[in-house]
Amino acid sequence: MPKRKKKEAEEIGFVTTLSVPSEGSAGLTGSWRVFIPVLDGERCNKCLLCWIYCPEACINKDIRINYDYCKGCGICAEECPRGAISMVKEEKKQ
Amino acid sequence: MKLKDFPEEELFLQGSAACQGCPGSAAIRVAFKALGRNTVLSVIASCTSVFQSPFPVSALELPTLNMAFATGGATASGLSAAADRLVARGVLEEKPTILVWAGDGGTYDIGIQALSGAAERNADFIYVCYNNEAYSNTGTQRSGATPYAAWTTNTTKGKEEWRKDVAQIMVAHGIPYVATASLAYPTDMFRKFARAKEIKGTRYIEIQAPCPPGWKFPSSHTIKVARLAVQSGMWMLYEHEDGKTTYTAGTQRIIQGQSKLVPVEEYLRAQGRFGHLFSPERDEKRIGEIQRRIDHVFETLQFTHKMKEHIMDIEMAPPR
Repeated sequence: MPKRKKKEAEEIGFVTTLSVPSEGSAGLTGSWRVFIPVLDGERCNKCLLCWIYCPEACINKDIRINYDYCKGCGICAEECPRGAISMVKEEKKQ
Repeated sequence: MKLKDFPEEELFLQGSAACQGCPGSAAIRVAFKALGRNTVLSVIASCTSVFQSPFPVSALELPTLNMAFATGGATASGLSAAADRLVARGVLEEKPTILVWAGDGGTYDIGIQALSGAAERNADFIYVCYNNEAYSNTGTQRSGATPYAAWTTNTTKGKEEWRKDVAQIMVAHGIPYVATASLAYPTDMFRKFARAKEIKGTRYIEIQAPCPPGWKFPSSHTIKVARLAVQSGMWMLYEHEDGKTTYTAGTQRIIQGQSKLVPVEEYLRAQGRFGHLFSPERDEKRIGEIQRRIDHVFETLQFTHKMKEHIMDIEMAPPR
């Protein structure tokens, strides 16, 4: 249960049927990933195409990828005009 | 507006329940950036409901109503009237933008009656249809927006009918603003949303949303397929205002002759749902039929464009 919902339950004594906006509403979606996007900072010219095309809002305006939530769809690597992002097979976490 | 001038604020929260490479969430991000925080949303049953409502959390930062299929126009009319009253009473300083976010099932088939009624009353809201050309949420069934010859679970040998054009139906309603947009042209989409925000009355925007599991292509190709759709003429970008249609971005470039129409085969080959047109043997008849329709539309548009330029030349020439 998200923090805001817990607070609501404590304050008014019951949980309403309203959903609260929260990051990671489907959990840590990074675990869905098979291929992981890796950015080559030298090739990147900050055209921001990956930022606007990312369906998950996982790339911020400074071109930092949030690997907690990145689902590894590969749109950023496909659309990068300079080939600065490559998809690498993810290694299993121990 | 350039990409670097887009607002940085994210009203769509990461870690949602959408599929990998989902066009719905990609479109909603651009829309939210253009409309800003003072927006009230009504989400009609569609794939957006999936990431909007996994109770007790939601991926959308804006106040949202989770509504049934047929209620798009009706809820928006109600929200708009309520917001008007609150502004008149002084509870709200500024009227929020009312946004309806519906899929093609909720627009083309089930919701068109409520939408048509609201458009006729010219209720004050923006209606967005993100069109993935099938009922993808329930496993890709045929809808009114499914194009000719496309595979769905109940048209296994390809749909036999042509799709209807709801954007043109909305133009026929005489509402103040109608536009179509594509995921591959985000600046064009942003500009259309920003323009729609300024206008009062019913506004309709339709976004083509290539759906990786429904159309059977890899999740990384969402934007590529959207771009091919525009370049091949299967999807046209335009806006209609004051009784005048202006073609924009990729479609405008083709009409003005700056770029050539890509053969429709490239678009069809990029998706598995048209796979039966190419294997076991090539279906020349159906591919040719699709190409002929596109060619006919663009020949007419290119001819009109040339005629207009010609008339302009005559008007601009100095009198003898």
